[in-house]
Amino acid sequence: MSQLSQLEPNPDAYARSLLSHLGVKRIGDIGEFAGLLGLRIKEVDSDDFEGALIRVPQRLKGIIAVKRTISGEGRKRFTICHEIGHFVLPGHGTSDCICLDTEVESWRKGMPEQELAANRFAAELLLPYKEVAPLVHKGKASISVAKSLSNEFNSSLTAAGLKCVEVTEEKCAIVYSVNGVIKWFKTNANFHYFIRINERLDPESYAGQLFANSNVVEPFGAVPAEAWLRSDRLRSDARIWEDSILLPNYQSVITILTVHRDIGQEW
Amino acid sequence: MPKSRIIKPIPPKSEQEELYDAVFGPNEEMSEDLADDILATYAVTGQMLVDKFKARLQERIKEIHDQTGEIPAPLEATMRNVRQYERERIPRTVGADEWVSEIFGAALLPSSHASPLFSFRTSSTGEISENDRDILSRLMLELEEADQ
Repeated sequence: MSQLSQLEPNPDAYARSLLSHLGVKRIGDIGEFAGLLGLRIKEVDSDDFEGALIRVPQRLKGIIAVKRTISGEGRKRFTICHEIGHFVLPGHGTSDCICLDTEVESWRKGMPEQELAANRFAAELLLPYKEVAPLVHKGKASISVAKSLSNEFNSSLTAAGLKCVEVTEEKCAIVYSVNGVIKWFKTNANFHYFIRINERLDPESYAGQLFANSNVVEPFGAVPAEAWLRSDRLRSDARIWEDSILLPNYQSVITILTVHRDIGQEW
Repeated sequence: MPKSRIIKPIPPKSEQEELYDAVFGPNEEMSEDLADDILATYAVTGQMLVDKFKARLQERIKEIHDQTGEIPAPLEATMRNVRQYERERIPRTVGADEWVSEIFGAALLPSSHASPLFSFRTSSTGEISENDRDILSRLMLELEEADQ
């Protein structure tokens, strides 16, 4: 291209274009899909990296190495789609293609920009907005909807939860906590409150209770908003809807927060 | 029978031109990037020069128009060229569809001497182990062999 050019910055757009170019509505067999791009998948016994892309520049040829011991098929598929992201996205895949477990499927602040872009690409590739939106709009964002999406699209619960929050029109956020501490969160465009990141979970939250006692029967319901949100301007009686689930294999809890009524001033 | 072209002899370079060649390199080696670098040392950008040139051109066209009631054709043509140059400098947005199509188009290119690549991360997230390096080296070799 002799003319100066500016590339589309949104990773989701590349995932959608790839699906449309290949005539695929949603991904079934991930190995077959990768094969359409000339990529072979190899499970390896790596120590540190979760996924890696080894490619031949300018060619549809490469190997995606994925850690054998990743628990959960959904997480493995997400890792593979993340590496496909590095293969497809402009400026990716020429270096730094070894992805650590703290980077795949994470949305914490301070992550390398390319890793975040590959995560966004993977989320859209596995759970295309067009396919997911009708299902979420029917049932709203909840752990139960995320579970059914995760089953239907063979994705991890984290990826499905993220997509639910992104797609819903409610004021919604997803929070990921590890060992009782909030590690990262992602809000949708309608949610304008600060979440208590890097703080210990409030005992009044269901997530906090799940870490203390994994036998909480129904970890969803209205909880004091200040258990999750940081703001001086919250109403004293403000409550927020919490829906949490414990992932014992990861010592983690995924929470979907929804603001149903006025709880005080936003940002 | 083809007509023979008359080739005019290139006039010898003046002393001043030779001095410029020695300082900046010969004209024919001057790329746009190099020109920008040189201008930057004088705190000038190419766009500033273009803007200045355009303003002077417009001023001159107006002067002549005021005096004669006509727009001088050569200056008008120059102005058109400047505008065309500026239009070409506006970044074009390449959409995701076009990008993806180009990836698949690349599969039709000859393989040349492309070799597999990856590099190690040395960011704060840490380096990878010796075992992991071995795994990646083996896969790289496998890919290279498959490509031959």
